[in-house]
Amino acid sequence: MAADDPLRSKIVAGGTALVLMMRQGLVAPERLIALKHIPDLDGIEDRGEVVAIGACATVTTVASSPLVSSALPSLAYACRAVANVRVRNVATLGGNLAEADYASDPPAVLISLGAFCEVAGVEGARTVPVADLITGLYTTDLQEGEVITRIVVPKPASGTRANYIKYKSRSSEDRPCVGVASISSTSPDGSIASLSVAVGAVAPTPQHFPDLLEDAIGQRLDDSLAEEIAEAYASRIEPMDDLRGSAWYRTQVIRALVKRSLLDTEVGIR
Amino acid sequence: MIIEDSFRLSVPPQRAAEVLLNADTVARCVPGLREIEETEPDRYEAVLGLQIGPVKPTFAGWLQVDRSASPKRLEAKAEGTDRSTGSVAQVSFSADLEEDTEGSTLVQVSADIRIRGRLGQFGTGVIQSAAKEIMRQFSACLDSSLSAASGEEAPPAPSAGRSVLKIIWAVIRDFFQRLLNRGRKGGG
Repeated sequence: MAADDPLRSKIVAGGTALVLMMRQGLVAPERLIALKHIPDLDGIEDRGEVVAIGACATVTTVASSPLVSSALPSLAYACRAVANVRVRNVATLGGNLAEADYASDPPAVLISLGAFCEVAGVEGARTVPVADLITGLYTTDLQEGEVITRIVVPKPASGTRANYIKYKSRSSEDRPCVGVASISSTSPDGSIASLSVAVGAVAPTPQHFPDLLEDAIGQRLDDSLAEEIAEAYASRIEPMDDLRGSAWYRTQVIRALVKRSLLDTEVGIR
Repeated sequence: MIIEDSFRLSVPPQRAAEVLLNADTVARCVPGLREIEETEPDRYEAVLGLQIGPVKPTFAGWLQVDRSASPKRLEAKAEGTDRSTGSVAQVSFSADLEEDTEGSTLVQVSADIRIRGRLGQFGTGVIQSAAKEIMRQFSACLDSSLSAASGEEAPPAPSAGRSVLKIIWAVIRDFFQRLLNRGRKGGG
């Protein structure tokens, strides 16, 4: 139905984004296609090497899931940090990704974890890495009539360190001004085996630069390396100005928080 | 709010000014432009469709070009209304052209954008990002338009949907026809 008349129907999951926009008079769809009653879209499944989160699982469900808390603690933490409890109980993780609001917590963490989405559409099913899903301001790679069905997150190896830092410049119940997610694992000799850093809420899309991290592999993650990576991210990112912070301010915060995120990673994985 | 951006065109300033003042070429490169009609010299009525996620405002209004300081500086004013959200956008543009490396022009654009009505809720950050993206698509299209020799097949318009592309082409052809019929200099 959504593919037949894309301009007049909108898909709704939790409604925390779409209904808000309808109330603000920004969108006026003639039909709403509700996903909440479609069976099997809201469970969280242990698939061995990965965790498969149903797109209609609420943010609270993800945050409080024992499986997510043990296997993906930085994701559980980020989900607990979203908005407030009233929003978390209704908003869905799939809806959060599909809305692609830049001032959001889950996308950066999911990208740092190498997550991907299972997408269903009239032309069939496909998978899209979360890193490629959000393509612009409130814009995703999803075509008309496509729906995210699952968010699949690879389980990090035992001993991996991961965290998410949400920086709010205004009230305690607010969108992030800057969000930094990082994850690293070390070889037996203490050198970096793998490393991923993603910065959210500063630009239309989450900012993720594997090329800036390549040279870090094999080195020790110490103060000066963390500072180097933080400086590289701060220089590469062109942040937005908005009421949570100016572009200049965000650059300073990015520099400080990327370093902090790299050095303060909690051991969270099994 | 004032947005500043710049882009390069691979032709000297005199030619760059001609291109920027050429409604035919410019209209083809503005993403989302659905209709444009010259009602008086340098005054146009136009319809511009934008998309910011699920919000798809369509601004209908006018554009007035001031070429008195060409080729160093071009100015324009525009105002449009989107009925679906009850919003009005007013924009004043200025473009300063200076010769960059030999044979190319640096175009520095300043746009003073005011939005009243519901779309104003989006906030300056979102509006700035959307404006920069439009500018990016516009300048890329314009630059590749210059690489294509005149009279050859035009470069593809930035993503605006197939049916919208047909409307743009129909209107541009019609506009160009009327331009030729008037025997006025320009076009191209």
